[in-house]
Amino acid sequence: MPTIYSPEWYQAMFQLANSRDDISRKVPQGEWRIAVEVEGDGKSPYVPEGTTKHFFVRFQDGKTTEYQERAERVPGQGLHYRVTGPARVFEGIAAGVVDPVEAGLNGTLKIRGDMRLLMQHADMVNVIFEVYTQSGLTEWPQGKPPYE
Amino acid sequence: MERETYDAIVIGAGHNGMALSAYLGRSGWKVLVLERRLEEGGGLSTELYTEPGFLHNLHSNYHTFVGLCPVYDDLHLVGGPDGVAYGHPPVQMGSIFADGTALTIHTDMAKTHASMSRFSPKDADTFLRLYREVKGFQDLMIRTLMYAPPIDVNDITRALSTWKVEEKTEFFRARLRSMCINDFLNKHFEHDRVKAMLAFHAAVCGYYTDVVGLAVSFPFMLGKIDNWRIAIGGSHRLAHALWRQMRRAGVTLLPAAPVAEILLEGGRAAGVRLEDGTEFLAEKVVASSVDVGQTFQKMLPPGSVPLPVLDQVEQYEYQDGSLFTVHLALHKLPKYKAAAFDPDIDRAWVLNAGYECLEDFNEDWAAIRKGEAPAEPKLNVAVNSLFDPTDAPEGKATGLIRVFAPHSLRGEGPEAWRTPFREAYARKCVDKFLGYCDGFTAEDIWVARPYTPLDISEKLVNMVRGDWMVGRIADSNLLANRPSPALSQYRTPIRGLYLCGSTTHPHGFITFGPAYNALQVIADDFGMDKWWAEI
Repeated sequence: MPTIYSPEWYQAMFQLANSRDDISRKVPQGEWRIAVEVEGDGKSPYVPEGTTKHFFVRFQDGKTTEYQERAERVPGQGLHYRVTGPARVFEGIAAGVVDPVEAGLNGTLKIRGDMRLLMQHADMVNVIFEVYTQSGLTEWPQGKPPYE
Repeated sequence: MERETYDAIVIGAGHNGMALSAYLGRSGWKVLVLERRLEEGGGLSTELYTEPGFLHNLHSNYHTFVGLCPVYDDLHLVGGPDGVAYGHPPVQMGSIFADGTALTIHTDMAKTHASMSRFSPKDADTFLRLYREVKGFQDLMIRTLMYAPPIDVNDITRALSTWKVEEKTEFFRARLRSMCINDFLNKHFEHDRVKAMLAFHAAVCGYYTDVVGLAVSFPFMLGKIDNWRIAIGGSHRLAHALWRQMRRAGVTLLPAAPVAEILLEGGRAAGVRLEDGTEFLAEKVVASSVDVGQTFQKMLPPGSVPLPVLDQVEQYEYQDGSLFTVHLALHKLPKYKAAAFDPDIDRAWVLNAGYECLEDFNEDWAAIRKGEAPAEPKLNVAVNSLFDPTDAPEGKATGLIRVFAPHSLRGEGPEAWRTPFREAYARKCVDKFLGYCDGFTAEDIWVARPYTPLDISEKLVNMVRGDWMVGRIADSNLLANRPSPALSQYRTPIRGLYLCGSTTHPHGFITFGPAYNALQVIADDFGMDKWWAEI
């Protein structure tokens, strides 16, 4: 089990997602470019406080085709979505202790982009979150959320 | 005859037409904007209406989408040498009640809570929970539901159900679709005055409180209860900012250029003919920011529009009422008796003076639907000089008193607003206002000049029947139903002809939503690089 945010962790997660026909069937076809920003919040032991991890993910026809950790903010031009939030929220979702929809509703997880597509494929969103919260994927060597 | 050719011709230089043209111009298109009136701006109209030196916003006075609408950022409309200086009054709204009490809404929600608590601690707590809940998803929902072409409301409901949103929020429920704002307020709040204050916020935003289905919009609307902004120097300054961006983008604006006809060529919108016979050609797009009636019934040749679409246009509905305004030139700032209860009321900008409970709203809506000006006017007062010292000579002040009123008075039609009733009703409004004042009398009012629903519809023909929302605010005319399902995506049955005005989603008010959404559709159709779409 790889550590959260490690390349191996994303690799494992995307392999799982790519193997799910229910995702590739439901996801809108074409290319989707997404930036994810995980902000160190003083709670997470995986992202130092005051720093941000920047990720870029590309989907093509329902399959993950590219994943990169970037040193700097992913430029906004050409992106479809940008998801930003405190590390403890991302980790809480991965650990299955934070509801991603609730985090989006109360504003702790900020999603920018055209929500209409997500609304029109709402069940796909649920499946993606389900994959993200597969606890078996993640190792928590420095502690597992909630951190309180 | 030589005819100038453009990539795009925009009909109407209201804020939507101006914004769309600026985006297209910055995208490298050659753009022409044609305006019927002598000046640009549409509802962004500021005039010396009472006396020299007194600036009055004749239409749009409150700008509540600053900071929420992407157009302000994309076109650099706020601050800097080219943008508008906006004031953000610390006491945003207030209500003065007949018993001398007052309730104030502040940018500081702790102060709002304290003010509301004097009427009902329970309501104050409920309000704060509602406000905080809405703030969590406000940005997300506004971007999705206002600044994107509309999707079917059933898609939205299904998504909320799939994500079990009802289990995760206190106030957001699918059944709000079958409730009116009054129902929502009665369900969650207990004190008449608190309900009246919140209903007033909805009413000034153009949402009638008794229309079934509008409860679903109320939480979003409440999220901007602390975002009432005033354009320093008058609302027309925003038109100036837009015009500067248009000029930078090489856009040509022709005032006093009323369009008589949209020219068709091979079934495509190929240009326009002005009333004086001048013709201009458009190689890509003709975008109409005027209402659907003018666009389809007056400007397009007979037989060019499919009959079902014409039927929908004919059935397009407008709001039941309009606004009767008395513009005031004042010798000094007014003070209110209710300041003894809450001193902050003297500094409140958007002021309710008359609505004490929800039934008061119901009475007004009923009167308006019968074609009656409310017998006992209930006022929406704004003294802009409290926050904009440039809008009046030193030591003086401007203000406005507004009342919801019908465009057409029963038995006499809209022309009744030209009779002595106009002045008599204005006096009634002023007398009512003075009744709330302390140490401020009729002598302190230099000029009080009415501006009626008929004046609105004559000055801005787009605002049919004086409807500043440019179409009914109801389930049947929002999202993908506005102006009709067939026209809701800003395209029309005429190739190359687009809609970008307030008859399209979301609605009137200075939202810029129609222009921004039409832009997305035009960009998709023409494969434009969406330089503005930075995520």
